[in-house]
Amino acid sequence: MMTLSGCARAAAILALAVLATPAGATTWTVDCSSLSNSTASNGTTMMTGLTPQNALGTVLGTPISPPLFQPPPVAGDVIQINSICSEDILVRIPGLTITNDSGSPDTLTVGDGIQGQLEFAGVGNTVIDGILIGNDSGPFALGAADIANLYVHDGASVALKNSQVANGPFIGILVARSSAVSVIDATVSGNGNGMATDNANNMGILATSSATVVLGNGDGTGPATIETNAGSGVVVSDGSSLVVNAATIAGNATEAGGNGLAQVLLLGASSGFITGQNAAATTITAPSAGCCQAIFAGGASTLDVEQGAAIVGNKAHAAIALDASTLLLQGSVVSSGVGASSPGASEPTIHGTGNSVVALAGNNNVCFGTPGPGATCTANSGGIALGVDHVSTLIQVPGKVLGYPSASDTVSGGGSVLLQSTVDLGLGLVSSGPSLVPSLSWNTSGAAINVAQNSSFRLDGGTNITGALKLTQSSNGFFNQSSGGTNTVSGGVACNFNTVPATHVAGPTFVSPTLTLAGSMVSVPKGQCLGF
Amino acid sequence: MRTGGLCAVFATAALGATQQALANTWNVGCPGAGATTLSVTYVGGAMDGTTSSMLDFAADDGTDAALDALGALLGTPAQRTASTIATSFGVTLSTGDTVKITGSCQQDVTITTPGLRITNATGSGSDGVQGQIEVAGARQTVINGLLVGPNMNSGSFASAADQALVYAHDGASAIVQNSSLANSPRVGAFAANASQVLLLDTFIGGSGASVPDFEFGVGALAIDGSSLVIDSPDSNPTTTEIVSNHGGGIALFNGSSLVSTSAVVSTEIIHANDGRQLFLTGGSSARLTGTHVGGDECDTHCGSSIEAVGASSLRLDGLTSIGAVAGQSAVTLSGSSTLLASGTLMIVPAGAATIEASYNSVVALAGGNTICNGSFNGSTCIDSTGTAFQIDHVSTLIDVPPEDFGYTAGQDAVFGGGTVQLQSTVDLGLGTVGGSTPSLAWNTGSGAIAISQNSSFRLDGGATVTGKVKLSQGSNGFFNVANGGTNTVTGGVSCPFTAMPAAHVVAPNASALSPTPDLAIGFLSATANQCLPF
Repeated sequence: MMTLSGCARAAAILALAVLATPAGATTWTVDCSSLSNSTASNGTTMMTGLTPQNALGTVLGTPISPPLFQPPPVAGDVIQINSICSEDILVRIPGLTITNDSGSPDTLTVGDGIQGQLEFAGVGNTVIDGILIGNDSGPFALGAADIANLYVHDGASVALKNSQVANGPFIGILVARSSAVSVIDATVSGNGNGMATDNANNMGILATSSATVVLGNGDGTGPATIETNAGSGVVVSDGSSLVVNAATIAGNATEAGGNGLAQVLLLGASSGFITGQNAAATTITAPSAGCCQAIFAGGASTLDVEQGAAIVGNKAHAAIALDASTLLLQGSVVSSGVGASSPGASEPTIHGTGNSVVALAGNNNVCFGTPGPGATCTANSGGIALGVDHVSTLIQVPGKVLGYPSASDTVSGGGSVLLQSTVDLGLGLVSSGPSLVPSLSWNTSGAAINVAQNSSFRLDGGTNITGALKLTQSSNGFFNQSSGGTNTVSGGVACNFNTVPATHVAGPTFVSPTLTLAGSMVSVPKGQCLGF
Repeated sequence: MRTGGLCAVFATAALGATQQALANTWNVGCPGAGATTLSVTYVGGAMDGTTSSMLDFAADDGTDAALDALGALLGTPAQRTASTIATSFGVTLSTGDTVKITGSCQQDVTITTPGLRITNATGSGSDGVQGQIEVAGARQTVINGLLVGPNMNSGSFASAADQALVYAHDGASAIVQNSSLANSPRVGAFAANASQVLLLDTFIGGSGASVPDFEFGVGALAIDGSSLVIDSPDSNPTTTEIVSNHGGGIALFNGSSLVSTSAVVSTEIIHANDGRQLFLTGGSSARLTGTHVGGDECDTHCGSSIEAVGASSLRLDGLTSIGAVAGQSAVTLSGSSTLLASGTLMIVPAGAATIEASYNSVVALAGGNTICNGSFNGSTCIDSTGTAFQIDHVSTLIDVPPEDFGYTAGQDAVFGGGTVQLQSTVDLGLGTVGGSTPSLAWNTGSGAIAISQNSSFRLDGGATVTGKVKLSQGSNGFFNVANGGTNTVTGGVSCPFTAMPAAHVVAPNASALSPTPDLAIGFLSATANQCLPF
């Protein structure tokens, strides 16, 4: 390993410093530490006699004035802040870096920052590094026209690094109209405290109108933390996108009365890509004693959860709930139901309703209970792991649709299939080390898989269900081995009815144990299925 | 913002965009006859506060052949730089500058400088541009108080390549405020390729006279990941209005979005356009809050007031109201599209369903809606002889808890019959609202709720149906009180069949369904209209 002498090291540091500030760029210093003599300087000229309420705006501009320091900063300049500047800022200059004055921009300095709305209108390539936006110690007030601590709109883009967006009365970060914010090694917490029951204005992050939010770096580093906001952690609406590369989203929806929303909420044809980077980089957790799901996707939204993301619901609500939306799930751990005293009354761990689609792409652990290492689960007996209703669909799809090798899905907990919904499972045998194993291993854990109300249930081979499958109310079962392997339902397949049998099965010999079907409609024993 | 959702977001955007105190002001004169003129009023420096001498440019002739003063300043489709400006005035057009127009400049212009504010000089209402204002990749362009239209003499654009009166594309953003975009030969306001157009207290009317198709003849159009915003941030009576456009009101294509948020209920108006008032396709989304969509004022080629197809998403709330002409629906969904409605009023005359959902679409009611097939007398729906809901081809009508979406609970009131076909599903009833009011009150009028062709119908408590429910052709009914309250179907539930009984009902008790239906005791002994039990 090469070592550097003192002089060489100093030269290297100097070189890095030069590299950090683009050639020709100016480093500005805004010192808001004095109530009556705050200053702003571009290194050659200093404005004095300023206050914490106007020093930063003098350099960057405000909602009622462009920069008064002339000429103002230009793209590539660095703005260093000392102490807390208390005013609303409106930036119309692209390419600025706004940081602390500690000399360590990669580290948050909570004593340096902005207490006011920091707004970026249509400007790209802004970097905010190592500062506090808001108040570290508790709630503070914003102006009557303000809406967020950090407001990025109309095609603007901001990289928020090593910073904290904290304790604002309204939204923490608002990203609107084709704008983008990436949150790297930064925290968004305690916001929305002034709008405790107004779910439209109290979330940690809101992306609306084709906006984009990225949490963490693409390699799984730089995790974002979204916590203790009064409303949701992250809301993505109106054709917007969320990318979660590395994040912890938990403890949000703290508002009184339990009227909160999910930790992550997608609406209006929005999309979410959530990955754990195969390194447990991402965890999204619903409050154990609070409301709502960890993730809720509605209104034709799409959700892709993969590579070891951990999604945790609570004792009453799902980890992932879909309403007229789709989920593609790969390699992730999804759980709920811990502490549920009546597990059967809880929402399923994954719940799709209203023409939703749940697609399992392999290597998932879906657990109504406490997941353990690998694909293990200490199930809370009697709970439902997978539920689809109202014309929804649960299917398995090959991992290759996401570029991953085929692997087995593990499910622990019952199943609920209602109101014209469809289940189609089994991709044959898949590799597990030197062995081939069924593509699905489902232990119903004291419950069963109940299929009712005009629904369909099909196994295509490569499925191993430990528990019972119950078909009722004009629902039908279909069994084949077209994907390879066999189908096992250890507790058997039953077709229950009270008066008139109305449930059919096709392929009774393609499931073990095999079924004996009724020979006619007239004399069907209880529990026996009709043939076609 | 405190009470109006996202409305303050856009209000703030507009306010912020108006502040450019230190920037230069350019004065453009387009007198209509004779030379056009340009001068600049300097801000800052030695010339602060002074106005340059006036420079003459070509007279307006409605073409780009010779640049008028506005084209020379802003750029045109053919000449995107204004090279003569700096030489003549010592400064050039820069971000933050204001351009004041006196008269009506007959010129297509192309703006590539971000952060410009283009406004009228006299407040007369006639200052503006006859031609296309193109915003090419430039952000935060403000167009305030202008009359924008085609060449007044020909009624057409100067170039066949012109798209719209305001055309923002390739990442551009334009805020059109207190302006009138009138009689565009094609589109009124157009956002393309990840661009945004905000319409604040602005009028768009008469678009599409030369191309009255559903795409390039509409009042406002967003395509390819673009967004439209409609708002009236100052809450004054002059609000945004999209009216009398020949190819439709608003169209969204390919992952685009519309947010219409009213500070004053029903002051944003999309009405009296030909065709559809709002059309969404290709995974686009629209959210209307407090917006009036007056499809009932349509005169020509009228379609559904709002139509969403191709996995698009529609969200209506905050006292949004929708009307349609006879024979057309208020909302039509197709191809995996979704509607979420809360606190919305929809009225259509008999002849078509008020809401129609087909091909894997979903209608979700989140409380406080009035769905009327008939006429509205100001407080209630009367003359309900048609169909309120038509749900078919594997589609779903469902009640959803208002709190899941941040709404307040309220009763959904439906007037008109229901048709549920081809493997579709209806699931209604959220218990009671305020302790005793059923969450759903559905008066079928002279019709019924007819469920057929392998479909399902479920009530979960808190549902009152004044009328009949008929299950047939392999369709089944399910009744429970899981959500609290009771279920009532005053006209009873029946299962008509001709030869073979094939419709089932889960045997309900009196709370789950009142009156309790007369069920067959066996398959062979079922009589006409009797349902089979399971």
